[in-house]
Amino acid sequence: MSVPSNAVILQAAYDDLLRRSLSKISGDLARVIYLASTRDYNTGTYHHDGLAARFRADVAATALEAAHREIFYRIAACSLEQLVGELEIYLNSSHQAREDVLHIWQKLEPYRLALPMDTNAAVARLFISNLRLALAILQRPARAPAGPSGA
Amino acid sequence: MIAFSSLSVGVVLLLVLLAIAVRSWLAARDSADLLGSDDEVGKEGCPSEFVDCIFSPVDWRYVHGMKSPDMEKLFRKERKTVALVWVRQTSFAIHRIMREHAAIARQSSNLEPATELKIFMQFAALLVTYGAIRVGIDLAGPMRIGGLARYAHSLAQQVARAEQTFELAIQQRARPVQ
Repeated sequence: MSVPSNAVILQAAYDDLLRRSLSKISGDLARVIYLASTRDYNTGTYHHDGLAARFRADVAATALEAAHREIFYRIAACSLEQLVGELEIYLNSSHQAREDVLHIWQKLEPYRLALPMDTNAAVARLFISNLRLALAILQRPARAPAGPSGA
Repeated sequence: MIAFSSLSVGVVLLLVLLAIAVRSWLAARDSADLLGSDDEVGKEGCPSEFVDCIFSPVDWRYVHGMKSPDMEKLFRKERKTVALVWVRQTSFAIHRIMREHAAIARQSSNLEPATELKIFMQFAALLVTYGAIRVGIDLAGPMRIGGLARYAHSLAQQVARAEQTFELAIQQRARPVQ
């Protein structure tokens, strides 16, 4: 019986992560926040007990990092209108009060921690800037429907 | 009288250009804290799809449709900062390629003057283009100079590829014939 290569094991771990964990989370923004939360603040290493038990800790960490990077770049390339939609999904799925989350996100900017390691500086700045704008759009009092997006 | 008017117009134009240059320099300095060193710029540069995002008019139309002057002001400020980070990042990368090229050229004994002149002209064209983009971002906003930014981005990629080819050619020429 042949031993599966590292690439095959990694792909299996990645697919497992998508199927078991990420598919249950609504929206890419929430997925990025979740994946960033699996990263150790001090070491930058990703941890996921279930994935590590099914595969190996290093394979799980690599799969988590790859998923984080892929979904982050996908959401960073979104239009502002799409990002506002993602933020709406995130707020609606959150168990906290919407206004509280908006306030804290504007004050503390916790989404800065959602950046993967070695993200391109312009891409990182675009993501942070777009999130600031999306928060400001959702914070507007008595929001009127936005005009044609032209998208 | 005509001479005095011409002189006045000239002085005013000079002052306006000076003001634009100072504003651009201040804005670029503000974005400098986001890029600490050459290492942070990375070898790969900004992916093309993100250049499209930064300079796209789509987001501007979305914000403009809200009929909110405050949101428009915030959008212009935010997008201008992002665009200046991109300009600074790309300028860093071009300067690094220039330095690497100069280092290789100094060690090479068989340089071709025509090729060197062509490379120099490409670098000069790039630096002028990025200078124009910086002024364009300040005067018109990133969403109105998307075409120029995309052109500059593809030109920078061409120069980077040409430099790689140049390095390979120099290495092959330097290799002893067996």
